[in-house]
Amino acid sequence: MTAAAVTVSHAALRYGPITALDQVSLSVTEGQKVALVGPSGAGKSSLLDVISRRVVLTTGNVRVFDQDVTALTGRAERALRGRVGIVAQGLDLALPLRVIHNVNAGRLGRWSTARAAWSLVRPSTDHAVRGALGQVGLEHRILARTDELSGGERQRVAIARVMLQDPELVLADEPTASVDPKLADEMMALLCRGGRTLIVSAHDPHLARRHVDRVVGMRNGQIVLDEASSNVTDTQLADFYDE
Amino acid sequence: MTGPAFVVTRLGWTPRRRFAAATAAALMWALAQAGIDGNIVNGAGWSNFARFWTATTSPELGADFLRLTWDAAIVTLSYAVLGSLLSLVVGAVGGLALSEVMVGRGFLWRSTRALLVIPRAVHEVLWALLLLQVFGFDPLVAVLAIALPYGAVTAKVFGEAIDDADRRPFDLLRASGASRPRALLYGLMPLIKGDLVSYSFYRFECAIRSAAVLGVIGAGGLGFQLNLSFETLRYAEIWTLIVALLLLSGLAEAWATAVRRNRTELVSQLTLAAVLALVPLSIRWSGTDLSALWSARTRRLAGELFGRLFPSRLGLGGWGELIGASLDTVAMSLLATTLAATVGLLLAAASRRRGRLDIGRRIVRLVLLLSRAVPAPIWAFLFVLILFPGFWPGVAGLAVYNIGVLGRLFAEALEEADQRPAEILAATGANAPQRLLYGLVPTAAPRLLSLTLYRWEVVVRETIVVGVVGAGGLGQLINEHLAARDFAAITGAIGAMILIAVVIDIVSNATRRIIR
Repeated sequence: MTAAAVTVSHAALRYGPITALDQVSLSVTEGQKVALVGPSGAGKSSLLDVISRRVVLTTGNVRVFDQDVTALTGRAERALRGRVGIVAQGLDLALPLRVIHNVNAGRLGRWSTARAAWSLVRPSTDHAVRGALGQVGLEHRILARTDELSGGERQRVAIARVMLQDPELVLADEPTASVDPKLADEMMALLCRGGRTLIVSAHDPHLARRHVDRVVGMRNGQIVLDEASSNVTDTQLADFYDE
Repeated sequence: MTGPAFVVTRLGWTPRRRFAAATAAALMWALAQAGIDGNIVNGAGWSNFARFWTATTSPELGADFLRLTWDAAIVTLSYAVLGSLLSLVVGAVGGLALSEVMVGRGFLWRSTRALLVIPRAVHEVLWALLLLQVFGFDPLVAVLAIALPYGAVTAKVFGEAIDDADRRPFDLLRASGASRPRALLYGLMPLIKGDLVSYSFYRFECAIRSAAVLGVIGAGGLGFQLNLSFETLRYAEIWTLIVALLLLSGLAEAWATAVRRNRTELVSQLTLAAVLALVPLSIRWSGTDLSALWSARTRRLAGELFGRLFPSRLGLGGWGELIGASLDTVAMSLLATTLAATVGLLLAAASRRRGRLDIGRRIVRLVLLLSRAVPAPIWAFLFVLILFPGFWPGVAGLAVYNIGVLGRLFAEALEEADQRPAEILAATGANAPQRLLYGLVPTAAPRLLSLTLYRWEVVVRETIVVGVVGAGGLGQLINEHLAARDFAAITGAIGAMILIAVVIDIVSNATRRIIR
């Protein structure tokens, strides 16, 4: 049996009176591509946040590659975190930096501090970086300042960063929200390529369904749908967004 | 997905790189101006220096001295309260007149900008010395000496905060027909209110330190006592007074942080009540008589002073002396500010680390607090013990003090910057220094640079105070003229300081535009 990349057990996330996640359990095997769908506030971002440990669970447990990241420190913690890539809604790039630095940030888990610092002074426009940017069609913007890019272009830079990091698990929160449909389709295909595990929160469920193996639907902090993408019908998806 | 075939691979001389090169060149010039020869460290002074530090463990705790310290502390507090409140009024009005958003770049803006450079360029101590000629030994001297330059700086900061804020809500309100004041109140003020309150409390803390420094020239309070104890090398007493200063600064700062973090109704009301209570108390404790501001005697003496100050005249040393002193002042300020910004940023980052090693973080915070609780001239005096009198104790004293100030301001800026870029990097394996370099510092960089440039201006003014320990520059020159009662020459030196302040203001604005 293939190993579980991510195991979420009875996860609950509460902010005071607000319950973002309500006893959610989910298991994702290595190599699977999963789309999270649901209306705003359903808990998709919260689920991704607790898996990446950006946010601490109220109760429950999350294991990534069969390890609990909160139990780790130092080099072991960095090593585990380096195996997880995150694409947030494009708001996570350092805007005053040039595109190349933001893309290189994908390698920080593998770089020493000195190497990272030196790269800021003399950025290495090596083959790997240009390849990653080429995959999202932004190679010509490699030295532009990130704040000169449009919202959609910034999202593509965030994806390029993950491509460069080349992690075993990618958590993507609405990675194509500001991008036009044709480009969005290409980027989804890019994220779903290869043997890496992918959990992507989808702003357009039809787009997601075309590329992933499994669709997980959420509402009010709970999982209410969990099917192979071939089994999910259009009406089921439509029902979802009609509250 | 393909882009154009041509790809830019070399950065060339970007504006940022040019700025970095210019800064490096300026620093090298400053070092040359300072003159690095063998004669910097004075080995014989180490024993006194050491004695100062060992007295930390045995401060003077006798009942009489503690009573004296308490009385001095409330006088210092009173000057700070009245001075900073008055400066807020001046700052609010001036700030509106200084913001491009409110008044455009027309005549009002230009003239306010030009006018406000003058009080900003003149240090509180110099204001006090001049006001002494008009009011005599009156507590009002200390209050006004704080209020006038502080009001001018606050006006600049307020104006820039209005101009730096996200313009969109303001523009939207204007587009739908709101008047400028309305659009400011509803569109801009909510965005910057937190920053402005924070800054006002920071200014209050600064006022405490300024009040202490003014004590050195006779205004009374903790500074006055510190000067007495230093002259007689009573190290135990010095430490008691420093601790009192530290407590006063620390309390002010804690209050400021509480207000900043806890913006609830209750805290706002308590703060307002405390402020309203402190005003009459301060008037009583310090014995300030505000009516002296508009008395006939004041008008007459002010007129006489004006007559003696103008027309200005060169001092005995002529142009050479004035220009040499000016260059020394600029060099001193450049070196001190750069040192303070570099070390300050490292300490600010260190004071942030969450989770493990909380003790380390608290120690760093305490070090920063101590650095800025002790006024620069006291640090300079200390460094005179081990460095020969002249340029370097001045730089060292200014640097150590400003490490504390910038360290605190930087820490706040890092805290208020968008944390998301750094958080994502942390979640994907970056270590703490990498998170700072690729996430936090770039995001906070415009603010950090702004703060450094603003601090540079202040340091130029502060060189006059370290002039008392023979640190050189315009400060020492003005002191020499004062000793000789040569007022007309003082005006000339003040003119040079104003000119330097104007140039720095221009450089500062140009830099902010380049770096943006």
